[in-house]
Amino acid sequence: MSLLSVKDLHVSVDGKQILNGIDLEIGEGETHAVMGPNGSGKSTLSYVLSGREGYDVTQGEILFKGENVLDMEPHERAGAGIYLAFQYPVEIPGVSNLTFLKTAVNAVRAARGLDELDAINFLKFAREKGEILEMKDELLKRPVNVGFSGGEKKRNEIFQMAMLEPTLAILDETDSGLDIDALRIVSEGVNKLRASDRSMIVITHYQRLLDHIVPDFVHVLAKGKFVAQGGKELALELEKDGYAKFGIEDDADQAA
Amino acid sequence: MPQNENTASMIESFDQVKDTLPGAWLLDTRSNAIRSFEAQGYPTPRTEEWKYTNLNRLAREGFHPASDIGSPDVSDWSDLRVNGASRIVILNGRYDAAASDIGEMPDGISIAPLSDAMEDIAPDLEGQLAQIAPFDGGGLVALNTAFMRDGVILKLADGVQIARPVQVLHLVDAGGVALAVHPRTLVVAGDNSTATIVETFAGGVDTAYWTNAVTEIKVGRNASVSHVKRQAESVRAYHTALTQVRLDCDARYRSIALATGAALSRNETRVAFDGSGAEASLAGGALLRGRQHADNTTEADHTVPYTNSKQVFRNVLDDGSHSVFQGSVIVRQGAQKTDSSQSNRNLLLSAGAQAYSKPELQIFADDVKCAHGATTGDLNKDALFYLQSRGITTSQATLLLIEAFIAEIFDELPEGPVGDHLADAVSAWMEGAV
Ligand SMILES: Nc1ncnc2c1ncn2[C@@H]1O[C@H](COP(=O)(O)OP(=O)(O)OP(=O)(O)O)[C@@H](O)[C@H]1O
Ligand SMILES: [Mg+2]
Repeated sequence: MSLLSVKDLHVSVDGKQILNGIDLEIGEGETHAVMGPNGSGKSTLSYVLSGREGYDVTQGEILFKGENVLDMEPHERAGAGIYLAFQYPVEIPGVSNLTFLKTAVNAVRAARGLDELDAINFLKFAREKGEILEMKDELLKRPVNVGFSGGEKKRNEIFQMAMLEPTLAILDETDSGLDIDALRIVSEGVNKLRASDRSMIVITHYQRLLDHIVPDFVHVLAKGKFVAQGGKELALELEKDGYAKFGIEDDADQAA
Repeated sequence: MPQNENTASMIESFDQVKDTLPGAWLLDTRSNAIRSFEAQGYPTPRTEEWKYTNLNRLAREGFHPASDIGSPDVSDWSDLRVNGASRIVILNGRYDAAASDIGEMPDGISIAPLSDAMEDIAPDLEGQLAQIAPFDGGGLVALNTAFMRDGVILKLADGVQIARPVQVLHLVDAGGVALAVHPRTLVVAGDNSTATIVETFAGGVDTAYWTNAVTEIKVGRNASVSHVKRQAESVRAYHTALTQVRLDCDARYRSIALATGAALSRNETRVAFDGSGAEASLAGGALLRGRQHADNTTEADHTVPYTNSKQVFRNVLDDGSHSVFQGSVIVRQGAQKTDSSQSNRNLLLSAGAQAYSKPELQIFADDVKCAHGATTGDLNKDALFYLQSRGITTSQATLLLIEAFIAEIFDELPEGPVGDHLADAVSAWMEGAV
């Protein structure tokens, strides 16, 4: 049985059809890359999986560990093991990263039948995971994402992933905004988090991320539908030839 | 013109109780005050300052000062005590010696219930009581002056620091009586002195009542007064309060006033700068639900050069509640180098809630800094989803965002029991929040 099974998924936002029949099977421990031009619906797919409001599923289903995800609230999905690393992480002034993380970690622990971590054990746990991502301590004390550079925000997303220990992690353009060193640190961090019981959907525009995080499968999304699927060599082809050979017009037309 | 009938009934009750009020030497002042009330009446929305807060219902309720109501048990309110503070309890408008615990005070500090002070140390009060906030300043302060019976007087000699906060706990539980209480507090801080005063208001839910408080504060040269107010009146109560502050050279006044109670409340804070180098920081706001209405009206009157004022007000509004913020900053000619800022933000948790915000700057000097800003909005949906996507429930996420929203009013809150006192007010409100 697949960990995640998406069947014939149709989604509209504000009455506008965005996903037009997505089929996706992800097995345990697998890493899938999703590529596709701007506006093709990659982030929409990630939001629908994590339960954001305003996305109407007009057709199809999503099963996670055999359960209907569409009946679950966003926090229940997180508890069940779905994690989204945002393309655009949200700034939350007034809430410290530490308070936020402690609340989140203990919430998912409770959902998974684990005891709460007390302040000391939580800090130990946070330090441990912070080291993997080379997170500066000072970032933990600041309000969530406020005053973080673009790269620091992305790093913080993967740090949270390390803390929340998901079974399915969706990384939406985690590489955008990262400098070369940060890209290496973050993708090494992601690789350390790969495990036989953890699957990933890695959304990206660039091969350079997939050089570090080598996917088992690559899917190409265009106009809300997968138009090509294959192994890691598919990404290399895309890098070389662009989307044209899949019958996809260039970005400008997509956006129009 | 004033609401004649309602005004008349107040004047009648004044004639009934005036001889029972403490301090015979004050009778002239009281009589003048009631005449002033007769002329001014209750404030009405026809005056600009009362545009958003209507006392019509309050005026019609016919609240009156009761001569004697017995002493209900105050132990239900023990949660409202500030740990380690010197405590004066004013129950149903009268000093409750048994519930109070003033404790030892170092030399140079006099602290007493006002009723005693009005009898015993009258000469000391003359020229101070009802001078900082004169009765011609409005119908409500006139009424308070006429009827004031109890409260607290706190005087600090030059150079005296009180380590313990002083808490005045105002409680009303008058059974079936529609009681009006008019507590008065006078704080006179000598040069270079320091004090923290906490005013807490609460009451029983059985009947509507009215608290009409006046607090006068004079801060001497280079003295510092911190003033914390927790208004947790019963949801059926009316609460109107005026805090009038006068600041001498280099004096510092910091206040944080948080309202979670009362059906209708008006918290008015006015600061007059008499000496250069003085600083005032006014913070506060309200957490409201149901059909509650809370009004914060402020005035910073800069008359001399080199003074600072800072105002930070936050309101969180659920259901069909209303908040009002009217913040006025006056910079008079000659008050050069004034530095003033004002910020009001309102968070609406429900479509039925409404926030009125009216900054008012009157600037007659040219070399000054005056910043102000006001915003009203809903909970940030993106932030909410971000938190939920990390496993945090909607209600927990909402609480985190509300706490973050109001955090700034507590920037200058001292840690320890006084801080806890306001934190408790927030959590008590939150427990009923979502
Ligand atoms: N709230 C919305 N209302 C209307 N259209 C929307 C809304 N949200 C997304 N869309 C549209 O849906 C389409 C898909 O958007 P999505 O963000 O999923 O694209 P993407 O593949 O992630 O693009 P990118 O590579 O630029 O991140 C776009 O055309 C976008 O404009
Ligand atoms: Mg996207």
